[in-house]
Amino acid sequence: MKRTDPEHDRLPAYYSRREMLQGFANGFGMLGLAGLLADEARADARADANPLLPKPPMFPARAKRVIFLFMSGGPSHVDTFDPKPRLTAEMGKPLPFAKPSLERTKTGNLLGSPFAFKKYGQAGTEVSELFPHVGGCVDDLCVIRGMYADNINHNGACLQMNTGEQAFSRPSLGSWLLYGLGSENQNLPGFLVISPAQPAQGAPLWSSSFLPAAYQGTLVNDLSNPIANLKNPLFPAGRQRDQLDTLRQLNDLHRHKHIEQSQLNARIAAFELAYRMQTEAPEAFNTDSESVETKKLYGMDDKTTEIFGKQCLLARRMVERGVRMVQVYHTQTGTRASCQLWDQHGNLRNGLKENCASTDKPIAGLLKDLKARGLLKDTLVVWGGEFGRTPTAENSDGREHHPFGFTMWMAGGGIKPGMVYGATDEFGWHATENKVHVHDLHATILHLMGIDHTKLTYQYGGRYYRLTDVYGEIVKPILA
Amino acid sequence: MSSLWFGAGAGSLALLGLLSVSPSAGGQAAGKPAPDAADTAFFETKVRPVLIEQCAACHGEKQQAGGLRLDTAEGLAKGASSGAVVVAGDVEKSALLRAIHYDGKIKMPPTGKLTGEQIAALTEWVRRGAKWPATKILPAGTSTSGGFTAAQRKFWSFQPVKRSAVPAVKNMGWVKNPIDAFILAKLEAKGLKPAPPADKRTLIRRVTFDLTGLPPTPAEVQAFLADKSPDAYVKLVDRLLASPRYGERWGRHWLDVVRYADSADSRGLGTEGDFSEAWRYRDWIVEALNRDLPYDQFIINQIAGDLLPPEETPHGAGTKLAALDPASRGMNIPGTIATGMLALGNWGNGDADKDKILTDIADDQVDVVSRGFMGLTVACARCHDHKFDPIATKDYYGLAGIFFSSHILPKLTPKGAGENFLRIPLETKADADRRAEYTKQTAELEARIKSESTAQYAAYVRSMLPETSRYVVAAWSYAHRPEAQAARTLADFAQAEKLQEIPLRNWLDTLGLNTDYRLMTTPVRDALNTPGVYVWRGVPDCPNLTVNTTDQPHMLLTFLLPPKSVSVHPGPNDGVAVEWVSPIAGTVQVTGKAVDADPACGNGVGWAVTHRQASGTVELTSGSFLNGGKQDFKEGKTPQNLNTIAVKPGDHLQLLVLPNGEYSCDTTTVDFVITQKDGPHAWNLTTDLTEEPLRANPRADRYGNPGVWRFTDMAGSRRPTGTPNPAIAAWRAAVTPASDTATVEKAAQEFANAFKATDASSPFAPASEAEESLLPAESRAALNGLRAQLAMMRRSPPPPIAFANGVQEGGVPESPHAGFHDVQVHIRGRYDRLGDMVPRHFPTILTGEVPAPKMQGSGRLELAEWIASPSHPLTGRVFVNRVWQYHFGDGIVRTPSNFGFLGERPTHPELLDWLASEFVAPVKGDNPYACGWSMKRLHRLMMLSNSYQQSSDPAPLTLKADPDNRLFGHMNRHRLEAEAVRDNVLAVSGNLDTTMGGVATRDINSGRRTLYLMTIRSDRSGYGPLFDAADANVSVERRTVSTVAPQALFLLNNPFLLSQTHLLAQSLAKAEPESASARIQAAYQRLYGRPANSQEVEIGLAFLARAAKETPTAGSVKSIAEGDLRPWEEYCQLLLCANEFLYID
Repeated sequence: MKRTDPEHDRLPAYYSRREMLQGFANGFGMLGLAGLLADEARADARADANPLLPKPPMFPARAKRVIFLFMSGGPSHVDTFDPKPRLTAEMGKPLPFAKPSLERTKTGNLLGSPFAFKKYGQAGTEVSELFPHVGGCVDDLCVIRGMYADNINHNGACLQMNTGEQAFSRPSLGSWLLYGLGSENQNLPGFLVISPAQPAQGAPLWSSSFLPAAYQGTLVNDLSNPIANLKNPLFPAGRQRDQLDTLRQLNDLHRHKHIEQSQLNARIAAFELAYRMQTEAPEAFNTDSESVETKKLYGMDDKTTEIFGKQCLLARRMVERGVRMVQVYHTQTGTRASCQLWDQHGNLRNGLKENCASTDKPIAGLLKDLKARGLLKDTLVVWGGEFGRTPTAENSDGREHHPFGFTMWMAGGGIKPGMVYGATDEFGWHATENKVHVHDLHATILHLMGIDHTKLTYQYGGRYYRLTDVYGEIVKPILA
Repeated sequence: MSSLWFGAGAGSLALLGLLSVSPSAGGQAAGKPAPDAADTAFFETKVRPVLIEQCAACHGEKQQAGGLRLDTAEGLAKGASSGAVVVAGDVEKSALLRAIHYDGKIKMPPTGKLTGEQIAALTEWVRRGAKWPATKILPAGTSTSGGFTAAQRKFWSFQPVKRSAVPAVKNMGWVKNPIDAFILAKLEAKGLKPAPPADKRTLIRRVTFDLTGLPPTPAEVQAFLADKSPDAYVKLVDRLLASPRYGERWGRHWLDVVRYADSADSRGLGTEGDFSEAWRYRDWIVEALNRDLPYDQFIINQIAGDLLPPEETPHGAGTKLAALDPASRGMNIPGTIATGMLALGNWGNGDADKDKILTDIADDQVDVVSRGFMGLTVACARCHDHKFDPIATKDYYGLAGIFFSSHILPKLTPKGAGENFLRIPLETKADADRRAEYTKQTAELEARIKSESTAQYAAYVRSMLPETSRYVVAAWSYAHRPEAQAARTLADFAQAEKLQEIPLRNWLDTLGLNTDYRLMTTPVRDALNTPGVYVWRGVPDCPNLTVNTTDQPHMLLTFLLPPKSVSVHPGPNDGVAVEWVSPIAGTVQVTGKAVDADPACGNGVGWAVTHRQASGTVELTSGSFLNGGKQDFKEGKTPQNLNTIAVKPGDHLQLLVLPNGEYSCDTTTVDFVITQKDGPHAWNLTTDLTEEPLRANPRADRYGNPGVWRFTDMAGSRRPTGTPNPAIAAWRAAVTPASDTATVEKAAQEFANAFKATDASSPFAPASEAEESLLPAESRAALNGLRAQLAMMRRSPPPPIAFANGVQEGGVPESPHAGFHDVQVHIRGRYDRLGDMVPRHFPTILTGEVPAPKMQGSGRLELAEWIASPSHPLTGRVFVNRVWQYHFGDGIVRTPSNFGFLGERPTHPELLDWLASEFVAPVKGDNPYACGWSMKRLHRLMMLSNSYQQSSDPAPLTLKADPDNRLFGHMNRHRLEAEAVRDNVLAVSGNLDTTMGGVATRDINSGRRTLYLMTIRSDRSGYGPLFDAADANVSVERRTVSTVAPQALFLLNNPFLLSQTHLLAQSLAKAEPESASARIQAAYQRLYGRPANSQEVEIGLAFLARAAKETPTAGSVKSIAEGDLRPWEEYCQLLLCANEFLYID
């Protein structure tokens, strides 16, 4: 720990070293002690010990934490990161091959992107004019153009992108990471979900499902009041310290009557952590202390980018403090909030432009800031949505859901920068080259985090489950 | 059950080490030591499938290329004609590995290299000794139609339950009933002793929480301590088993298993895409437990209750569907509700892929039934034969066919839409006939009243037509009365002019001459005792306007005020208007919304936006919405004419909310925002009112313009109609405020000549029944006579139809699965790759050679009766184990929903079987332990044992020898579950509301038991998940117990906790007003069921003294009013946080 904890001095003298270990090596903000005594503590680990203690990866990890920027609703790949000249050239003609039988609604003829693409960076990767700032960071990105998924509706597709499964409840990516690695900061939730409006279907996307509840994501939707129950509206702070000290006296009297004590001790420690969280968590979530330049970098000085800028800045503050995974859902722009903001069945020209405008600068700001702080090298940043959109038109100014080929990108910890991986066909319909399934993406993320996706398992309902079910291949060519 | 992968050097394999079983050794190939459970599981999941799928075609039964056979242990041991292919533990020397690595000349398989994962698995297997377990498990992808191996047939949980002999023990004195003999025998075998008995105080607290989820009251504790009779404890258990709180406690345990939720979506608003009737199923469970419905009936009802005859008959004869004539069959209402278990599944509603939806629903049902009742993970066999248990894919589809032949959806919705849930009307045929007759009769009578009143009104209006010009002139005169008469009321004026007031007001409205609506002038602070909520009104009750100035939502009566919001409520006949009086000349835009704040009752409201100018009032837009609805006046969502409105100073823009027949549930939250299009100003009603709720009405705006906001009671005024009558337009054109009397009279005469309407648009026409006083007496008598008839009829309506979410016979109507039918195997779980047709049947390993019964209908009833049979090997075992787990903290089998190979083995198999056999044994005089499926008898059996009554502090030697308490040598201490934590707080603060059943509440501040707090699948942010309540998305066999800081934060800071702390302090003060130490004693008795010792009293007094010194004198209103209660609140809170309050010994 970065500072000595004054609470140590408050421990009553009759605590034996063994008791200290049992009671307080449960973590709870005392990582130094926990680290020193780690082996002993682990041997002691019981069901009621703090499940969020950091655990070493299975092999040396390239990334320690993940920021997943989730563009809720399905961003159009052919208008953002996957240029298709032939689609533009043959605009208005029918798709020259049969569409898959799984269709949501009948779409029309080919719709070229109304937006121009331009080469960026040394890599010369083509990016749409909608993302000039992200384009400026393209040498840090690995753009995966051959993504594909299985479900054609938001609910199933969001569920698959977050949990690997389309219909039933399964633990989310963040929950698996917490289960596998714990969190490096016991004073903050280890898996945060920042979303001003609820994305499609809500909690199942960050659920721990059958994993213990402690691995569930914590939703922050009110950016100004992120964590519940942090303030006591009645009693002055000084009184609470007295309450806790007195509580400890009473708990000790109770404790010494009993032989087996680990759960009782864990609870005593939890109160001390809660006490510290009351001051530390608000500080972590308070962006006021950031410099004017930093706020500008994230676009917090502009109404268009203010909200997502704050989300991204919070994400940085969280990973900086050792939070394992932050999922940033884009669900609100300066003018509208929606669970499916990127769902351009219509209003493609204006709606998509607005979405990109409200995220472009914040995302670039995040990447630059992480880099400047030396965090990008071991922070994995993932960008994408639940699927892409049809290259064919829905009415005149829209595109339908499209899981058969779409784009995501990754940057940072362990990812080869400045590359494009995989491709869709000339119209952007099917992923054709170096295809990456959602399961493969998950396998790769776990791999970068130092986890073998086939070995991170949990037994439930008669079988071992894993994030990637029985699938998933690590996408090795994109690893640095 | 759970396992962490990290740990020892074996890496991922550590998890498998948790398996408790070590299958017998034997059949070793290359390896010498016997494989342990970890090796076995690893081999079966990772190795054997590769050998069978990738190698056995050439190196198997039919062909042994190179003399090598890789599908048996013997084959591997023998090796190839060229020699051994595997050297146990030596990765380098094993030819097999070189071949699969494509390292040498021989590259296997020749068709293509194995995947990295497969290669790694075989390598790891060799490294660990290439052990080949004797337990034969059928490899994936093969069929079991050929039967099972002896090992599979002999697996413990598939064997018939035997009534084990009660073992002999040394210490016979400790044995209260046979359970104790089974427990003691195992302890004695290890030279261990059970824990001493728990003391009486501990015992009553344990038993009371165990059976009711609530603490014993101090009086109950005293009575138990005072009862020295030998059967005091028996009486205690019986009293608690008879309490209705028992069903609420134990019902919750079962709801965990069946993944119960009150709502599938976050809105929880009860739309068609939600199972909003789920609560009836929850209430059925509670009621079934309270009346001790035998467990076999409990099973049958939940799987096939809809198929039972209306009167529940004892299980057995007479329950067959065929015995009843379907046409005359009444409905089994409770049984239909009970099938909610199958209807509340979680299967990804909203998938565009309809075939997938149908297969997923059946899968959910196979899973919940097989795991819930039989501890069998049949659902694993959806895509391939079960990898661990002898359950073939065919067995899965044999069961699935039963559910494919039943439905929980009314039909499939169009592509792209979410599915709706079947809502089954809970009505017998006779009820339905009665309802139809009633509806017909009342409709006829209503039609008659309607036509009669239309005729009577028209006659009256015709009689008044000659009066038209007189009324028009009078209206104009009143509207333009001299300044000196400004205060003169319309009633007074009408009387003086010998005119009727009602039509005169209507004429004012119709001609656009109306004066301002009545202002609401009376403010009320802290309405309904809710600080920060203000109400404005004119008349005593409604209409009114409510302002929530706080950041919290407030649930008041039946409506919900959102944080920082303004809501209005119309009166019985009167609308409410919120008005903006323009301080500017220019162009503005109106946005805003109206949202029903009371979706649980009422019939919706009407609304309108109007623009009142000097020349009259026009309606800009209007409409109505149904209960729970809303209207958004957002830009782009409404007619263009809200976007650009030219206003002059003094113009009114009005948002009207009008009652829709019934008014009592019409609370409507409104936003009303006026934005200047040609200037910088904007006016926002909600912001202005929530910032300063108590300014006068009308009130100035934030720019200092006086009288901009008004909120008014429309007091019977008729709102203008959208399309002005040409005669009215001509009249308006002809007169100005300056017109002289002659001009006005002339214009009025011309108007009267042109305006001959006799329908409801005439100002003479009564607007409603309330205005019928205008009509001649005989007309009124005729109408009132008819109405009296209708009222009489309505006094005895048929009861409202209740609905249930449940299951009905036949596959989803109009889908490919409609009707009753078997299904084909879905190869690899895919509905588009179909295999053999499988007759509906039950898992073959359990039925043996006995053929499946002929399915009548779907087969659900046959399935239910088969599961509920006393000879079923799993049903009884699984259930008694669940009950044991909830009583003792751990099951005899510690994986209560998995009695298969991957599940744990029973720690006390003989005890499990003894309990299972007693549980199903018929109650007869000669067997005191037989339960006859009675759950209450089973509880009694377990709780009256000495094993149950042990202390939670083990003898030190026992603890050391058995740290996981697998021998049950002491009681397990446990933290209260989420429900019991909150219920305990409510109980000790004296605020527990024991109302049972009904729709769940969303209000954590409610006094209702936590069982009745709403659980929503898409929301995991509430109270329950914080304290490890069951996740309603999955079947929960056992709750996790986490100890994390957010729980402490809840106890320290949450407003619910603080309000309960206040109530607790208050009620203790009332009980012990004088002495502080007596009050401390009272607190200990109430919270912990014991007196405080002197040290504890001292600590308490010292704390209170410090708190009193530091209590700020100028605190909240509350602390001043209640003097020195604050220190006690602080003290009570810390007592609620103490371990002793939350842990049960």
